[in-house]
Amino acid sequence: MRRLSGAALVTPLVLVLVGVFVGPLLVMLPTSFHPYVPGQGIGTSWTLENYTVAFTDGYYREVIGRTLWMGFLVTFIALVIGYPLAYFMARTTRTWRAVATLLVMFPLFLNLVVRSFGWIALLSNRGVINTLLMDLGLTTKPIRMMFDMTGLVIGMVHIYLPFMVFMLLSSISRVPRDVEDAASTLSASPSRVFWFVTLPLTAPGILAGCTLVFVLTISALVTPRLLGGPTFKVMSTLIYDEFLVKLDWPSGTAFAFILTAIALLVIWGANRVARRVAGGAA
Amino acid sequence: MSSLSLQALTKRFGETPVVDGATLDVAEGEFVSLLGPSGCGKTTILRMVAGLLAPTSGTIMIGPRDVTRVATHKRRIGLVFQSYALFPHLTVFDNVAFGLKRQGVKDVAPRVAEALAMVQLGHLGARFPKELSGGQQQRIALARALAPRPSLLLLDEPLSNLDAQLRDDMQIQLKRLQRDLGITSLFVTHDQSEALSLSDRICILAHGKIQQYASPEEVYRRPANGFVARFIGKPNALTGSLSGDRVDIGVPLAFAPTVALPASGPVEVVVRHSDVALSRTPVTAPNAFAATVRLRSFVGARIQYVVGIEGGPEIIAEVDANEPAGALNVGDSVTAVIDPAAVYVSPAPAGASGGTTGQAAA
Repeated sequence: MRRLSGAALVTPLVLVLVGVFVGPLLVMLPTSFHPYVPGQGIGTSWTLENYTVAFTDGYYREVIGRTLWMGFLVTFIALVIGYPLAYFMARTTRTWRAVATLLVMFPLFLNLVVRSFGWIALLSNRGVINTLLMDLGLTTKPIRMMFDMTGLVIGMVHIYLPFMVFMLLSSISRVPRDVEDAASTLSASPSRVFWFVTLPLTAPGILAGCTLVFVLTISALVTPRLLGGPTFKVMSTLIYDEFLVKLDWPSGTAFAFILTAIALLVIWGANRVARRVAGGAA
Repeated sequence: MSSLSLQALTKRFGETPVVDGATLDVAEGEFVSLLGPSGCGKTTILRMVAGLLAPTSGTIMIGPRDVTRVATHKRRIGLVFQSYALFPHLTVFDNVAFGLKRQGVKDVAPRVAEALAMVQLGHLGARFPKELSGGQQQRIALARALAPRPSLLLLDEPLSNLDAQLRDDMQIQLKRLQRDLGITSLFVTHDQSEALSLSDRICILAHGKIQQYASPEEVYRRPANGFVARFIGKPNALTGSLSGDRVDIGVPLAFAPTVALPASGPVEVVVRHSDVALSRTPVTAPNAFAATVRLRSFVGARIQYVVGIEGGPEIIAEVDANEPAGALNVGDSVTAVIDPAAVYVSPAPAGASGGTTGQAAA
């Protein structure tokens, strides 16, 4: 009886997921194994070339490598900025926590495109920052911060930092204060309490936050499109162009599946590590 | 091992004093309990001694060292928490080794083995805390606190999360361990039987103030004021008014004054359940009153009666089940006898509304 009602409760969600997520994926899968015939569209014969070319062609390899490197950088910077912020929020007074929460959440209320254009206004060669630097005489030529990794990473960290902070916040808030106090009664200085107790106990949260930010970053489209420009491509913008500019659906589909596979691999790996790290803690 | 000395220790949160001028000396190797109802400031004192809370004023000395402003990790204390507070990500061995490693002990294994042997859990070193029962976790917490050989052991209601049977076992283990190691200990509890059976001296607290600091017998037999008399043992708390050398609770009650009293006026009167003797036959003694048994309940080795004193209040008497008085029935006429030395009279609190303020030691 209980099992039955449980199944009934998850049925709507399963139906939606199968209908709008798994279904289209399966429909697209065959497309990625057909050749692209210029002027004609999707061919009828079968081939693996759409996949192999992603790993043999220098340009495609560069795009994949760049995407992963971007994911790593954004995740790393979001963690380094986000952990102290989340720690402060977890340990401060109720009022300060409310203020900080609002500040962290605020960017989420703004449209993605608006935010990206905001960064363009700041980062471009004639943007606010470069104009200011040149007016102050700190530099004679504008520093290039757009259409390359710098601008992309700045914009992406800004967008995904809240996700990291909230994952870390819930994890840090759950560390029992008694356990930290116990460490300090056992001759551990505050930095050692953090290193030997707080940090290991929040490791699952760190892992979850990193996984989330990494996966969101490598699959983001709008920000790379606007801050990376037409030439500095990552996988998502490449897929977009394959589909809508080159009309090469088979190749676009193959790349989409590769990106999905990377994301799933990262999630699976993180889960395994989490289980190891948590050890007795979970 | 070191002595502990608190001088005029005060902690205020805002305007409210939680601990108000506590002065307390614990001798080397002594086991002292801080006993009081919740909110009396006992845990606050313990946390200040541990350095987890900064006092508003006053000093804390461990041995000859003034540690008032010394950080927790430099105080060389061991603290056992009510919540056990074991490190969930470390094995039992690593939990116990934690303090030793922080102190730079090179070869921790024998010291860990020694500490685990003290609590008879040497075989559990490889387990994680979540794989242990509550009682085992508490013993590991004790071993972890003792392994670095602290100069002072602090215990924050360590037994209150255990079930009754286990609590008795742990009490005995704790007492034996403390005596064998001769470690100065400060034990926070709200359970009077725990405090009475474990302690060399008991410090009774209420509203942030020390009410009495004395041996368990002294606290039990000669309560310093009405609060202590009501808090220790099972009391009949009555109100009366003074008239000469007697106190009128409906019937005149003789008593031996233990605290300074005004010449007349309202007073609190405490008589413990166990200090009311019942007899079928008339007795000639001071404080012998005719009474009727109204209720009888069996509480294990003892029998509890509610008796109504003729012309006076209802009181509770507790007698040994083997005594003749153990066989009384509801409706029986009896003589209730109260030893004047067991009647504790103290001035009614200011305001006299049965409030609980202003009960500083008289």
